[in-house]
Amino acid sequence: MEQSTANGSAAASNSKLAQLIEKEKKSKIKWGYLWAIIGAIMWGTMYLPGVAVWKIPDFTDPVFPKGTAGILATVVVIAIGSGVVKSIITLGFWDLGESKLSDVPKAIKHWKISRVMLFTTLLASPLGVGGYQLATGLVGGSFAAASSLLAGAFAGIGATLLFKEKMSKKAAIGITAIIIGGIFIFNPAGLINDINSSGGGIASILGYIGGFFAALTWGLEGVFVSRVSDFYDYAMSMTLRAVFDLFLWVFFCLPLALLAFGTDTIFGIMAHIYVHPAFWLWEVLYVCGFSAYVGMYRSFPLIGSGRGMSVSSLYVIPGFLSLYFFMGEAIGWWIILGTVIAIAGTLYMYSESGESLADGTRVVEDDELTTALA
Amino acid sequence: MRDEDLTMKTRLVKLLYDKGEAWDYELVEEIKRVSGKNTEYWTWVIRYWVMELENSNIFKSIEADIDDGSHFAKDKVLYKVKMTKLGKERIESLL
Repeated sequence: MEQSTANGSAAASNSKLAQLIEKEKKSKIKWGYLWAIIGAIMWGTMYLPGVAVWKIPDFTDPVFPKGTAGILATVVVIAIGSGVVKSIITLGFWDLGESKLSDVPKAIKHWKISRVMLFTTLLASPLGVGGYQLATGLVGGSFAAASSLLAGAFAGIGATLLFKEKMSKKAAIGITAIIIGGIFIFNPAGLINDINSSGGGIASILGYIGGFFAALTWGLEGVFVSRVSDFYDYAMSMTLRAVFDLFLWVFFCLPLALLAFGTDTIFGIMAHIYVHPAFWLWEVLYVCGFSAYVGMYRSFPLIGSGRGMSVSSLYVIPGFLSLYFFMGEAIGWWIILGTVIAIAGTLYMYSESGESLADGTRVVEDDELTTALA
Repeated sequence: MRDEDLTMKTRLVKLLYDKGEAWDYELVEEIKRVSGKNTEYWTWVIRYWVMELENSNIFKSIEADIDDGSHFAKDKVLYKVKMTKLGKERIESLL
């Protein structure tokens, strides 16, 4: 009798343990998605200031070269201003606040890891942000947001091929739905029409290529950052991203711009833009949106970069809403339809993650892995 | 690289790599001790890292128990963890 009671209570505590483990697993996945959604909302808030800074330069001023050259030079000047604000806020506000500042020099010095972040930043920032700025400046804010929606798909494909991230059939369906939603938001008929009919043809094609590059490089950013996350806290990845960003724009892009457009032009544009208090105000707001990286980078270890990037590309929704409310951009039916499809894809993906991510985000050759606590 | 030159999260991976296997609260205590970060806040930050690492298949849990409140909080799950093959390969390539 005593024996069976003892067995009974052991079984009860075992089932309690199993329940608690189950609960923690679910909560990890729930938080993975929540962080990605928080990231998406922050991205959305970043969106309006990102468009607004482009209203500051007065392109009729003789300091700007005509056409595309003027836009390119302005991209560099705006990115450097943005990089300065980003580094100050990340280091002085975020890392100081979380008392992680002492880890920053170590994170930079561990070259085998930090070089991955440097490469990632090169991809995502001069190429990605530059492409994005081109898309915003040459084609339009809505287009820029829509094209970068594809980043999630690139992340999913990249992470699966390069680092064996788990990609179930259902997750792939979810990501595909987000892409289809993106294509609707793209308004393909309008795009083809734009390309065919545009008077400044080359400029707008450059804008389209910029949008595509932004998506590709941001997708790869997700893939590499999720790998770096195995060794660095999200705050370190975010800090390196900001500091390397400034470094690359100042020491790599600025000299190129000086060569290409001339010292007088670049410093003239800097003087033209940086004296506007409004520029710095928009940059601070823009960089507050940079805290989207908190959400995104935190989601990667929990649900993987493919799912994390895809969900965070839902940022077009708050992005479009803010453009609609503040800038009076029209919302067509195709944007609404695309949005519905993209959200449905996200929910579908969420519904299956409990199963497919139960034993972690990666495919590993480790037969003992699932046995002990299954 | 010397252990004290590693960031806290890297050092956590290195610690388990050296130990072979350990309970998560042992790892948390050890990292808090060596880094001089003694507050409650860091207990949860480091526990969260252990959980992330397990989720990314760098660690794997081999045993679990219910916390009676003496380590993290009552009814939290305590995990005994070990490096996976992937985790070992990664840390060896990075040090």
